[in-house]
Amino acid sequence: MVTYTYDQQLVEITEVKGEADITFRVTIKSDEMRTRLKALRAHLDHDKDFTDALFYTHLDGTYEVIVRNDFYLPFLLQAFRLRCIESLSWK
Amino acid sequence: MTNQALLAIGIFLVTYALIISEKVNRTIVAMLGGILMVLFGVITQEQGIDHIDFNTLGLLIGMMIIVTITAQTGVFKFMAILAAKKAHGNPLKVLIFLSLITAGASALLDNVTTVLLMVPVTFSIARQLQVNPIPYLLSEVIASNVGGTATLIGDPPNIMIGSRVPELDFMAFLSNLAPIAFIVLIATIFCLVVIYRRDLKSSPALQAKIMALNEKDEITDTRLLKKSLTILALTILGFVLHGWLHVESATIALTGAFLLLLITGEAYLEEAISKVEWNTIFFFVGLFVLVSGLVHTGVIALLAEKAMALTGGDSQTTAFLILWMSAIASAFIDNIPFVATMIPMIQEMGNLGIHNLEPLWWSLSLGACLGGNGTIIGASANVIVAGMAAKEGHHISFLYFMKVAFPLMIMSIILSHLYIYLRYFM
Repeated sequence: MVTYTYDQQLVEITEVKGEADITFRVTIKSDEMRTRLKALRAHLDHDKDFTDALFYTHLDGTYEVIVRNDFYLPFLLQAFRLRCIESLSWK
Repeated sequence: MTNQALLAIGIFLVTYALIISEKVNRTIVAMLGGILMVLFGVITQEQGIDHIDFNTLGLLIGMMIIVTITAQTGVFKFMAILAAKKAHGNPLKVLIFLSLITAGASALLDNVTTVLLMVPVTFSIARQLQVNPIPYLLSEVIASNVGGTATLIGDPPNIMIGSRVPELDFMAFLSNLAPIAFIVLIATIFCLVVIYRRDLKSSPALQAKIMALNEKDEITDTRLLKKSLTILALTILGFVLHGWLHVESATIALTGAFLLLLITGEAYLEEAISKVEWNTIFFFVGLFVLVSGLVHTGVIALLAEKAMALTGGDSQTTAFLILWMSAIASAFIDNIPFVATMIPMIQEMGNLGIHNLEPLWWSLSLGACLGGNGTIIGASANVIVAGMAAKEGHHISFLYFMKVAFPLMIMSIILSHLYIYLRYFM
């Protein structure tokens, strides 16, 4: 099982598991993290797969990211690479 | 018939058959077909080059550059989410609004580009509403083919016709084709709503999620957006005025493209140039040379004579023959080689005594553009969307597409038939 940690000063992340995907609800607490999340989105928007991760911005400033089950690990890896999360490990 | 003419027909038919079979890339086949015409001495290299319509190529390249840069601003996602919110997340209203946006964008941009920009955001909206994305994808692809019919720059057949017939400028296309394209679009969307009314249902909670989206966050670069939209608007104004200005449409498109690159900076140059669909450009080059072999050997003139004999030289009968023949042919084969072959044939009909060729050009355009909606292989946009859907796990079969789209295509041709009769022959 993959687990991850993130800097709670910069971001708050919750996860809801669905049948075919996992929904991340992301609350950004700093402009720096907003820039990183936008970079993550730009990366995923430019890949060839449209439904691997779907990004939504809400009017209240929170983000929702729906990630397909098969893309969960690649998504976390990319989030780690762009420093949206702090650590990633197998347990 | 001379040996050269027989040779030209042979090369043409083999090339055409290979394009239809899709066993070998169509660009490679078309280029080799054109080269064979030269190698076998059917035409000289100079004659082949003379037939390459650089106005068509310049227009396509210019618009591709403008669209590549504009797409990076996120404006299409912004419009799609805004439309979904204006529809209050109602799935059927979302289908109507997305279809209208796609048709409008397709009238000004290439159909394939339009669907490439619309499909990703469509998946996002459908996922939020937890509805099947296929009805949306189908509606968008059909709307893109209908919208593209409305203007000189909307669809390759129109670009080719406008380029080869100088008196048919942007405004001529708009005033003659936009009214019928609009009627067909409304009728088609109405039918699609009826077809999918039971499939597209969502809960108030999911609809509320759409209303909570912030479309403004989709705009990634406001400065680039302002520059792109200004240049796009000026380019379209240029198309509107190009008849009066006596400037070819390719000059307008290329001016817009390189002005945009000038004000956005060198950073965009490489990507914009690399994203030009060079496959399509070379496909056109090959076809122009291929068809020139038929023109030079008198085959096109002979075909025109036969068609005239069939219709008795009557303008109305000829227009209807072209309309229906183009529609049925375009449903099953690529409409670009078909139109490339038909253009010199219609020009020859003018030499053989049909004085008013205008209804024939509109018939060719309507048949070739709308006919593409008949099957999944009828238009490039259909193939692209079906491929994108399959990759995301939503398979659109040949038969399913045909079951929904073919009757709609026939309806559109019946409407076009009535329009041509009422407008040009009453």
